[in-house]
Amino acid sequence: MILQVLADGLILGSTIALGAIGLTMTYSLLRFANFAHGEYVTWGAYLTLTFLGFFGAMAPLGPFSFGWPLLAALAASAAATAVLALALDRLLFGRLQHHGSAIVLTIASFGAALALRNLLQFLYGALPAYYTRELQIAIHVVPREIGGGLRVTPDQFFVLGLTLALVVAMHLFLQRTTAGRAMRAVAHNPALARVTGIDVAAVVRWTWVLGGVLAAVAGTFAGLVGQLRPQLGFDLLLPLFAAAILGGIGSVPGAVIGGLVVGLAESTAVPLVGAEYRAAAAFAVLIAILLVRPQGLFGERAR
Amino acid sequence: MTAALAIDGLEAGYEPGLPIVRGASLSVDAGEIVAILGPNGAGKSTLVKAVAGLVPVFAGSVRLAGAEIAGRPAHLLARAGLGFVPQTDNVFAPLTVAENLELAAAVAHVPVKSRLAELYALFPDLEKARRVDAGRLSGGQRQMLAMARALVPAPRVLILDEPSAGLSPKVVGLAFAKLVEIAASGVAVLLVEQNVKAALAIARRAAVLVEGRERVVAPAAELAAPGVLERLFFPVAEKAGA
Repeated sequence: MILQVLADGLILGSTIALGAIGLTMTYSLLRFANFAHGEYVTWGAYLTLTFLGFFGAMAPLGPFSFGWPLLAALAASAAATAVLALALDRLLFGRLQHHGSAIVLTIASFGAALALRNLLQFLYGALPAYYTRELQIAIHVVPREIGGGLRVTPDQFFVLGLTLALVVAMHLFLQRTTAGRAMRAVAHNPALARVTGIDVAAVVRWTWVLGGVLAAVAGTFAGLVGQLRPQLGFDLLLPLFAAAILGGIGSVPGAVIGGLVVGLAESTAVPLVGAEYRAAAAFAVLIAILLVRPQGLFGERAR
Repeated sequence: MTAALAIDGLEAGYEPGLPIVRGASLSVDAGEIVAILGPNGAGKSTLVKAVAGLVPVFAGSVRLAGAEIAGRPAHLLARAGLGFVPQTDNVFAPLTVAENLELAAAVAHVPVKSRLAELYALFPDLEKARRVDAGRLSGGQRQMLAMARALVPAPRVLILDEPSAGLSPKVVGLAFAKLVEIAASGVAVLLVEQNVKAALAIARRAAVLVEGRERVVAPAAELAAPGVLERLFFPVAEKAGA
């Protein structure tokens, strides 16, 4: 049973990690907590559903429950969610940034989140939706005699694999490319970045794009291994914040580790204390770690 | 000859209607070191930050090699040949020494390898520490990296805000010797300094800024004479004593 719990935790953690990367990056650059980030996750998931409708019937690809149209729809949704994040910055956050404090931006993002969620519910309805009705047969990866056994569906393998690929790609982007280093530079010190010749406004725009893309992927993964609901992103919001804070604000590896820790804490809580307390378990872990390391696992100590 | 940097009647500050710099004028020629001195709160830092595009300019003119640049965004000024070294927090601490310099080279579109080789020749300590996170450098190394970072695009003008702050006298000597070397290569150097003695030792001219305007701009040797600066910094005390 223990292996199954760990695997479930990693799969849930993958979704949280992808969402938390975007959240931690926008937080460290713009210095406010964007509560609308959860709605980017939901919108990303539903936009994939909409684009899937455009691409027509879907023949499953190998062992997976989905085919090429889902991947194409995911790419289109990622682009559209990036546009959504940019639009919200243009219409709301960018304007408030000049004369608002962090708390004004945070409350504004809360309002934007409510508006986005209600608009989504108005457009798509409140009933759960699915990308595909194909049945998935779980594969016995480990027989029952060892650690209670482990069964994973091909879709779950896909989610884990693509998450790993995206996390590695993000890490290389931030470490090796000029655009990635510029993002780290702006997060550390915007004024110094400006006198170094970095166009801070452009870096902020690219950060929204990346955050939107990763949120759309996270939402689509959540919809693929579960179901689409208008509360999808809202329910993920607190775990996202927990992961970002746990890892240390501004740290991408931290957000990934934080996401996995929160996912694992939630999944191990189910057999131990029952499913109704799974969210509480994640926060117990968060509080315990912050008491020992207030700056998070990979965070810089506050100056 | 057109000055490398010419400031004329500059008014600048953080809040509109509350200028901290009130009509300052000053020029720096290529290869020259000019120091800005003055009492606390005279607006020295605000003046150089306004020139670098970090503080709003309300009126007046700033010319870089003859071209008007007042009020232009800081990142465009950096690319146009104006190097600025802030007083504190002047390196990207989470990035390594090499990453700090490579980033500056990439955004300025200068050839990374050859330019870094030139800067490592000027600052040999940085080459030894190139893989170290900038946040782990000593105060002196950090100041050298901050200067090297600003020099990456080969600027015409290098502006430094209190480069001696927090450094030991020995390290100040090394840093200022580098400034002399940099100026000798044709760069116009403008520095704000509290360490008056060290600044006047390397500057050709100095401006004394009081209440946001230059009270005098004179050859450094004249200002270094005993009692001269005290009278310029604190005219009220002089009157009271007379």
